[in-house]
Amino acid sequence: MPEPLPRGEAALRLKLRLLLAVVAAGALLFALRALFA
Amino acid sequence: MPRGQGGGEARIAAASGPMERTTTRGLSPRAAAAAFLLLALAPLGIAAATGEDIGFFHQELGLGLGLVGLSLLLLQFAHAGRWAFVSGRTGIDVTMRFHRAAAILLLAAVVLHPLAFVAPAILADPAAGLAGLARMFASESMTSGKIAWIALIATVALALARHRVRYETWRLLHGLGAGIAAVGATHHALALGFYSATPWLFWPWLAAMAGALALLLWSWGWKPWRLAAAGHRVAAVERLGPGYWELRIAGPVPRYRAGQFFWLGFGRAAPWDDNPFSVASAPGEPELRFVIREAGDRTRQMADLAPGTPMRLDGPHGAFTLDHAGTGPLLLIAGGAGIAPILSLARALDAAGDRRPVALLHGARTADRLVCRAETAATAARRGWRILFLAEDDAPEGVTQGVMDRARIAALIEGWNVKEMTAMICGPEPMTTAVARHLESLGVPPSRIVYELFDYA
Repeated sequence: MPEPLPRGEAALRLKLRLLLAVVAAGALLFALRALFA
Repeated sequence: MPRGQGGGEARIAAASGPMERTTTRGLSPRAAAAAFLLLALAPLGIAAATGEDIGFFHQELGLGLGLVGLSLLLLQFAHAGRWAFVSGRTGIDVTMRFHRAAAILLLAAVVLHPLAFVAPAILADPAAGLAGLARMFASESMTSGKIAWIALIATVALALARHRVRYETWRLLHGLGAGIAAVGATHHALALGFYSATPWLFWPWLAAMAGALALLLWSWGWKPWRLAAAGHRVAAVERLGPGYWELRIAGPVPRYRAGQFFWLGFGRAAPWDDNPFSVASAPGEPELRFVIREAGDRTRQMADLAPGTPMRLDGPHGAFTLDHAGTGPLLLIAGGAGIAPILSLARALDAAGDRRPVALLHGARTADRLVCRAETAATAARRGWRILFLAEDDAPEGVTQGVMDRARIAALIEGWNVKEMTAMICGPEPMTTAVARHLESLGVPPSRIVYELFDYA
């Protein structure tokens, strides 16, 4: 089993992924307009 | 190879000499993140505000993925450009880690972009749907999109397999592939794009593509040409230990801070053939010195580097500096080649007559790889620093056999206020994260544990 990450490192990785998740969510929301138009 | 990562705020007073600070220009990490989100999402916002809806979810999803894919692709050039405005304060290591993470989302968006349009048809009737997909790919109007699609997939695939390819080959192909993808994808969007036909997107796309190509040409043309003209040369290469060399450079010494790094290009190396190395000297020394371990393609040839060989020095870069160290006790930890920036920090602290409590932990596989041990031991004795040399395989006098475990780190910082101290770690990633974990468990706040993680080999 891999060693747990230090808190600082885990927080940084989470922030980077969250930024990208917001962009992915943006594309999904854009498509969802079609369902609510 | 440089290692480390920044956190905390600058508290060292501006001064000239070994502790000299240069103002780091550019966006704060928060502003860089906000700018990224704004630019990545702006095309979706503009399309939603100005375009007429197509009306079907799968088509809107395909178009949305296309818009996001193109903006992510063009933004990748800004991340990779070693551009102080973008990465100066966030750190090139964090910026490049984001570049790699963003590439996966970019790849997903670009691969799914054409598939989304035919997904319902494939689900309803796989044979007919796939035939429709084949017709779409065969269409002449899709040529630029197809080229971009293939170039992008190949570029990301090669990046994931970069350790199997010669460094300079992958760097060249990476830049070329990204450039082809950017031109092809922008042409595709402008020629066929449903939403991108609006002038609110057409001109910004064209400008962003021109900007991305300009960045590529700047880093492969103008910048290396300017750097080569600066007149830096190899002054001397001296063996420090098995596989370890000190490289001294003749020529004007650029302004830098202890702990920073430069990309070095040797001789007639191509613009894309330069490697990052941490400075080992302190600002204020008459020469720039590096400690280099033989590892990658270029570093195997250190012994053959003749004095007088012309060099390109791109930098300084990096945030592994005393700006993040506050004024409390300082623990410096070096593993293997990570000694280079730690030497720079120790030499700068020594030259400045800094009086804060310092402890230095230096580990390597064997004692003869603990390079510059006599110098750091003498400095520690003179300055009253705590010092521990660790070797995994042997233990001559003055060296302890073992690894950087929690007990050894706890002993080094005994009696210090763990909330006010700073730890600066430089070494291989598994060592760095293990040591950071030990420090956190000893009560050191994560923001006071400074390191950079690189993967450029």
